[in-house]
Order: sequence, then C-alpha cells, then structure tokens
Amino acid sequence: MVKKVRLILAIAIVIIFGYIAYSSFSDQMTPYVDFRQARSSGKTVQVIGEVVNSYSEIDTTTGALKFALREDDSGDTMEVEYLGGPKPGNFDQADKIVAIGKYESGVFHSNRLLIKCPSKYQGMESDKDNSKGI
Amino acid sequence: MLGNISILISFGGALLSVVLYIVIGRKEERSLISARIAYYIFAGFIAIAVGYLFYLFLSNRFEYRYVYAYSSTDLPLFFKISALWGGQEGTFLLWLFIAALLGFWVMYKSGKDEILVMPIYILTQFVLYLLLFVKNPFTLNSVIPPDGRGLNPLLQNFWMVIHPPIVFIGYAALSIPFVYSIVALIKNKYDSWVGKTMPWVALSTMALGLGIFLGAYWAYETLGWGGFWGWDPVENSSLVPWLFSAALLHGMVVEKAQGALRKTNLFLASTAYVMVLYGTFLTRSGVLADFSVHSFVDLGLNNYLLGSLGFFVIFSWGFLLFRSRKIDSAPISKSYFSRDFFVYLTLLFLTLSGVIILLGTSAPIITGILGKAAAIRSRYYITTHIPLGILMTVAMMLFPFSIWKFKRGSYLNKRIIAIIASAVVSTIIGIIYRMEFMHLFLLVSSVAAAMANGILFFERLKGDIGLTAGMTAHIGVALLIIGSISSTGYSDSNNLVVTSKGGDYAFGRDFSLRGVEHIKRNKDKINLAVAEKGKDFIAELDFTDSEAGMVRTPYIKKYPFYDLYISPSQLDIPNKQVHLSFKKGEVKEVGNYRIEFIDFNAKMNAKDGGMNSVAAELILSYDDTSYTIFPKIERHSDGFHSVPAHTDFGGVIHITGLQADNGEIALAFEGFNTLDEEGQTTLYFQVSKKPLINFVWFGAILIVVGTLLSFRRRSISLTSKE
Repeated sequence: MVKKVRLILAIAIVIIFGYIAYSSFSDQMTPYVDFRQARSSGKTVQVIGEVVNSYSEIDTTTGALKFALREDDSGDTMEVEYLGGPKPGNFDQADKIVAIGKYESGVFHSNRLLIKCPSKYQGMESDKDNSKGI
Repeated sequence: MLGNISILISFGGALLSVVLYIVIGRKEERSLISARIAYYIFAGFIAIAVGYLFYLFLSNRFEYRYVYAYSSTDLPLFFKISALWGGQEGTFLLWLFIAALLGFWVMYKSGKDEILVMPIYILTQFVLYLLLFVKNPFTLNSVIPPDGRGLNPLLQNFWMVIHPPIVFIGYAALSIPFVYSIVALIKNKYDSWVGKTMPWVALSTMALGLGIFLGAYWAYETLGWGGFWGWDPVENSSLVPWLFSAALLHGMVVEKAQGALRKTNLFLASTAYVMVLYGTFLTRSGVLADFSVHSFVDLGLNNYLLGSLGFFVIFSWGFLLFRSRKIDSAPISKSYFSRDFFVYLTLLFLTLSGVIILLGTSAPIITGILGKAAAIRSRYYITTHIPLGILMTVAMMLFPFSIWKFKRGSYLNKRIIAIIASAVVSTIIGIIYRMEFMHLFLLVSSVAAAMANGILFFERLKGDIGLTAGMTAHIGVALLIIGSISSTGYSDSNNLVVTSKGGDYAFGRDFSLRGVEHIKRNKDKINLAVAEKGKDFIAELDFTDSEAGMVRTPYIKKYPFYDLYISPSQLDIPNKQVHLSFKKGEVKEVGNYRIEFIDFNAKMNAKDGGMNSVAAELILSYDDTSYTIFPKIERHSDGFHSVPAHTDFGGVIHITGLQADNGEIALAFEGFNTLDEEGQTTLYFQVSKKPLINFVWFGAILIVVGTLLSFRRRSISLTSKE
C-alpha cells in the first residue's frame, strides 16, 4: 500500500514537473535568427553580429548601452539597446556579440549579451604568426 | 620532454597496475605489493608531470605553448599556481593528479575489495589520459617568444586559485561511488557497498558544493554584473553532478538504515559520474559555442568524449539492468510520515532538479537534433525551481516532525508555536515588501524549514555533533534560498553618471568623482567618493585593459542586511595625455606635480654596437616628495623607441621629441591626475542594493559544514566497523 502510494506520488510529481519544465522549455526558447527574421518575429530571439565601427555609447538617462550590430552574411545592420546591466567587461574587445531580446519600434531591445571573444584556444592556431616577428 | 615522458610512464604504471590487480586477483596467495608499486609509479609520475609543469611556469619557459598562453614574466608567483590550471590541458592534468592522490585513500579504505576496486578505479580515470594524449600542456612552440600572453586578470584572484582543485576533488571523489556500484554489481552482493561508499559521496557533495559556492562568490565579487549565478553551461555542468551527489547521499541514508532504495542508489551512483563526464563533454566540445558567455572551442575531443560517455552509460546502466532482478531491496517504510519517506522525497526533488537543469543546459543539442539549435533563457530554470523549491523546503520542514515524538493531545507544543510564528512573521514581512505570491510562498516555507531544522539542531547539539549534519545543511539550503530570492528578485538598481564637475545621487547617498589614478601601464583606479549620513567612504573601482578585454572591478560595500554593489560601466578620460615642451632648467606644473627639466643626461648616453640612447634628467616634486627620473629614447635598427619613466604614483612620462642643439625637449605625461584642467572625465556606473545577499554566503557555508560533518560521521563509522 505504502509502496503504491509512494509510486503514485512520485509519478504525479514527475508528471507535474515534466509539464512545467516542458511548457517553460518551449516558452523560454530563444532561437538564433537573422536580422530580417528578428524584425518580423516580435518574439524573443538571439542574433549575432559584430559591433559597427566598434562604437557604443551609454544613454545617461536610462543607462542603456546603445550600439549597432552588423550581420556577417547579409551586411544588414540593426540598432541595439542593452538594458540588462552594466556594460559587459570584454565588450570592447569582442569579436562578435550575441544579443538576446526582442525587436520593437526600430530597435532591438536586449537584456542579455554574450560576448564572443577571440579565445585563447583560437589564438593558439595563430600563434605561429604572432611569434614570427620575434 | 620530461613532461611527456612522465605522462607516458605514469600511463604505463596505471596499465600495469590494472593488469597486476586482475592477474593477482585470480591467484590463491594474494600479495598485492607489485600491483601497488605499479600504482605508486602511476601516481608518482603524474606528480612529477605536475611538478615539472609548475617548474616551467616558474622559470618562464615560453617555448611551451601552454606556459606562453597562460603566463608572463610579470605574473606574481601565487598566480603562476593558478595559471597551471588556466587552460583545458592543465585542468586534465590537475584532475588526473587529484584522482591519483585520492586513489591512495581509496586503496587504504577498500580493505578486502582492493583487488576489484582499484583496477576499476584506475580504468575509470583512463578517460583523462585519452584527453591528455590529444591535448597536453607540454606542446612546444616553433619559436621561443620573449614573454607570455599573461593570465586573464579575472583569474588573478584568490578564489580562482583554489576553486578548480576543489571542484576536481569533487569530480574525482564522485568516481568512487561509481566504482563501488560496479564492484557491487560484479560481486552481486549489495549489503556492504553503502557503508564503504558513503564517506566518498559526502566528500564529493562537500567538495563540489564548496567549489560551486567559491565560483559563485568569485563571480559576484569580480565580474560586476551583480549576480552570483548565471545558469551558464559551465556553472550547470558542475551543479548537476552536485545535485545527483546530494540525492545519492540522501538515498544512502535510507539504504544504510533500512536496506531500502538499493536500485535507486546504484542507479544514482553511476549516473552522478556519467553527469561529470557529460558536463566535461558539454564544456570541452564546441557544441555550446554560441550559447554561452564562455568561449568553448572544439578541442577535437568530441569523439573521444562521446565515445567514453557512451561506454560508461551503456556499461553501467546495462549492467544494472542485467542484475536488477537479483538485487533485493527492503520496502522503504511503513508510514508516510517517517524520516525515510521525507528523505526519499528530498532525493526525488534533488534528482528532478538535476534532470531539469540537465535538459535546459542541453537545450541547444536537443533542439539542434530536432531542427534549428536554440538556447533556453534563464527564466526556464527559475520558473521550474520556484515550485520545486517550495516542495523541497516543505519536505525539509516536515522532516523534523518525523523524529519528534508527540504525546496524544499535546500537538500544540513550543516547537510548533515557534515554527508557526516564524512563518507568520515572514509572511507579514513579505507582504510589506509586496512580494509576488510564489516568492512569498517560497520565502515562508524556507523560513519555516530553517526554524524547524534549527530547533532540531539545538536539541541534537547536546549529543553527538555528527547527528546535526543534516540539520546544518538544511538550514543552509533554506537561508540560501531566502538570500537568493531577496537579492535577485528584490534588488534595486540605479544608473548613475559622475564627472569631474558634478556628482549624482541614489539610495540616500551622494556620489562624486574624487580622482583617477593611473596605477599601472594598463590599469586605472577610480576613486569614487560616497557620502552617506555621517559616514563617507571611497569606492575604488579598477579598469584593467587586458588582452582578454577591459576588466572592470566592482566595489562592494557590505551592510548587515544588504550589499551596496557599485559596478562601473565606462570611463571616459578626454585627453589623457598632456603634452608640454621644456627648455633646460624650465619648471612646469602638470596637475599637482612640479617638473623641472635639468639636462640631457650625458652619463646615461650609451654607445654599444649601433645602439644609441638619450635620457632626459627630470626632477619631479609633489607634496613633500622630490626625486629624479630619466625617461629615455633609444635608437634601434628599425628606428627610435621611447623608454618611458614610471613615477611612484603610477604616472608615465614619454619623450616625444627633442632638439639637442637648442636644449629643448617635448614630453608627454600620462596619469598625472589632471582632471580639472582637462575637460570632463566621465564615469558611468550602476549602483544596486542587494538585500540579504549575506544569507546566500552564510547558507552556502552551512551547507558545506553540514556535508563536512556528514563526511566525518560516515568515515568514522566506517573505520570503527573495521
């Protein structure tokens, strides 16, 4: 009897959490899209690009970090406003920036940035060039 | 050479040890000396490899790629230790080294099972050899660079020196329950495995927990984004094994007492280690490259990692399935309101949490298989873990009731009154602060859980302190949850701007820019004056320009009930350099500093082999200090090079031009605190209030202490039985 109840309870909990996990899983999914899709989708998505002219500024009233991203393949550019916190540490050295957010009224509003830096490991491949001059 | 040879010899030793254990195990007269000696060779040569790598770091041997990539001549000794595990190759070596050391302990504790335990233990570590053979830290550069690239300044931090070894102690310790589960399955005898394994499970839970918390504290203290946990794959890949390890520890409590949950524990033991390997795969393969703040680059190890992962999964789960009918397990308990039932529930919740996080972390892989790869936002973890946290804390709160004996008719005793009171008070506080319903629910259940476990803690403190292990950890979990809800969900922040001309205001405090000091070639220190009622302090914020990016160090002011977290975003210094020209004997002022140009220094002119240098003799004076310094200019085959002079306060003086005939010199000054003369220096920063963040750290410490007590208790009971 106890064993049965225990089993039922366990299954019930697993099913409930399976459902919660599943629904928020599909809810919280942020697919990678290109800029064109980002503009039209109206959902939270991820875009990747490089910062145009390596330029960014901070809006003194809202604290938003403003910059533009350029897409690799299409050359398409898009204004981004980041409000997720202070400017990420390695922002200025970034190779590419991944912005997660939503496109609204002409601007991509992001609350999370992933900074893709020229990693040490990638650097390893080009070490030979670095050390040639020495 | 020595490095690679040591790794090879140690591998030979490991292999030999496995073979000898197996061969000897079949014989009648069992002298294990030869197998043990082979193990000493294995461990000894791994130690030599680690020692040699450390020596290479100490002696700046930049012909080794690994040393070149993670060290530099000016790296302080202390951080040369952490540079040792600054990259992947070094971490594999460190992991293997720690596993080899733990092996001695395993050998000593394994008793009669040594013949089975040791060879399986060694074989389990072979996956690390696979990784080391493909990527090892002793690879040479084609040329010898004069200096290394230096260690990322973020890693030049005390916590980052001790964090990786502690995590690897956890990983290595978690392979031991796996080994014992296989041994139990081989022997087809299951009554003694728990007793022997429990100390190791407690050790891995303790070490992984400590490692995770140190990493979280480091993130909070140095990264400046204000949080301590980002649900990043790197973090999750050690959190999942920890949750499984904690679940296993709970399961083993029941098995030890009742002989129940045997299959569950065997399954958890193998799965926990599989999770370690899976985490290694996630973070060392390129699969998550576009979904994490960490740069994961494909090391070309995917096939090895996937292969060994597959082997471990199929072998351990398959073996368990094969034996499952033979494993006899007692029923869990007669009552729902028993200790074992609550422990079982906790096990279930911990496992569920592990699985949910595992799925979230694997989201890019799962969606990649189904279609377009997509990551999951951190909200996923939060939405799932708030209800899970409520269930977990409710179970934790009810658990002491299964131990307390109540007389009929006297249910409303002091304990219950205290618990209800704590719940009521926290409800009122939560309503005052307008908490969301689910947050409030979680807060109240956590407070009640802390109270219930706190009462039991003090009741048990009178007896054996080992019996308080569970309570200590439970109070820790409850406090950790309370601190997390309030510091992340109810943190208040303001974006401020201060300039050399004007300050800003937030949280009843005035912020103003006191000055910017140029401490090092690549480092600026900002002194931000913060004025609050009667108590003023200076917040020092560092900007370090490194190869890894601009590192901005936040400043944290601690108060009993909250932290004031000041995180710099950007610093604009217009015209950082001041250019001035001097005639002989002329005196000029730069900022608060007086500079006198005496002469071109003839003594310092040197002619050797086509190289020519000119130095300028300057007298620098400020406050009560006055001394002579010599910026230089050198002629090399490829032109002139300026050799700047560094002042004691971090300023730098360059010669930018000279006319020896007229006795004139042009100088550039950097870092001379010339704020007021030079336009506006502007600092953008964010100030946040993090309520009850101290609960997080205090809870974390209690969890570690609790698991430590459990480790002590379980290893004592192990020794006393023998």
